[in-house]
Amino acid sequence: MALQILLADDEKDFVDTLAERLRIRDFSVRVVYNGLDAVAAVKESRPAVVILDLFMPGLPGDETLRQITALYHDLPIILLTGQAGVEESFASEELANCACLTKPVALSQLLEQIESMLQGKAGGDRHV
Amino acid sequence: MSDTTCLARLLSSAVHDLRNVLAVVRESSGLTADLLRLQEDVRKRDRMLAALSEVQAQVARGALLASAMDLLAQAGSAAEEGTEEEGCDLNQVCQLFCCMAQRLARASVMRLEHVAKDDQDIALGVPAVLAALLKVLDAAAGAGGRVTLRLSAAVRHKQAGVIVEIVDGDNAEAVSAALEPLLVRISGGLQKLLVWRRQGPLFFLPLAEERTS
Repeated sequence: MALQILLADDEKDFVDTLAERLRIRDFSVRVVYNGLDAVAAVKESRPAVVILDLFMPGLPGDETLRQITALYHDLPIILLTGQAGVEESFASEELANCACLTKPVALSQLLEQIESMLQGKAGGDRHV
Repeated sequence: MSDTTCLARLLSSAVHDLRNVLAVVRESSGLTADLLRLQEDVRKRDRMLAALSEVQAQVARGALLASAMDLLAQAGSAAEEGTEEEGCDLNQVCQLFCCMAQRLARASVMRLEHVAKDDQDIALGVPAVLAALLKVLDAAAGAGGRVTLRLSAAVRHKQAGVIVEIVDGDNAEAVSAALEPLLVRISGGLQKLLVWRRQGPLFFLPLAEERTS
């Protein structure tokens, strides 16, 4: 069964293309464009991994992250954003199952990060 | 709001958007390459893949510049907040300088290289370090350029600073003479401690007392 990934980002051109590339690699990808829809999607069906932008309209990214981790505290989440140093805005316990990557990230690096998180390893450049 | 804060905030916002632009370019070119790889009968397929690979390389170059601009924006914000003691990681700032000043260097047929080292915190702000390095670059350019300057954070006599090595140039003598009044020439024992292969004259740019944590 294909691995389920939830992609949440308001940069439609970016996220739709990334989703297509992941689907070519046999992942099952659901795309949402704001924080409220991201929380609703996680409530509806728990994905294996969430890839989350922190600066989306509607629900702020930090609140989106809190609501998702409140639903599943062990759900792996990759914070993928254009803002450098986002991890400094959070307490370390809030990022227990998170990794931070800065755009533009190579797909190979993103895939390595997904694999590393699913294996429960502290991998990636900025796994926190 | 001070001018510095204003510039830092706008720069930070612009870099965020620049990263999104780079991300779209990276994914779109990556998708095109993915689709080409799935179709072997496409005419000039290899040439197209090579061109897409160059696009990816340029995205990586843009990402490096974005990181340098991020650091500048953070330095501007930190200066305004005034909550922290002024300081920076000298190794990181040397890397930033080499990245951001490469275009200026090229105008004088020069190249800037950075030798990666461990973090080195010093009690001096980013703008002051960048200004000192720019002064070195201007002096070298004023002497005719045509050299490569290799920069590396270092500590000499308990003072933090930057090692400036002149390499790969047909104008090293003139540039050395121009840097002599600004920098301390290194000779003898310290050269043996340097990790890279020595090729040209070495100088030290003293900046601040080493900060120990």
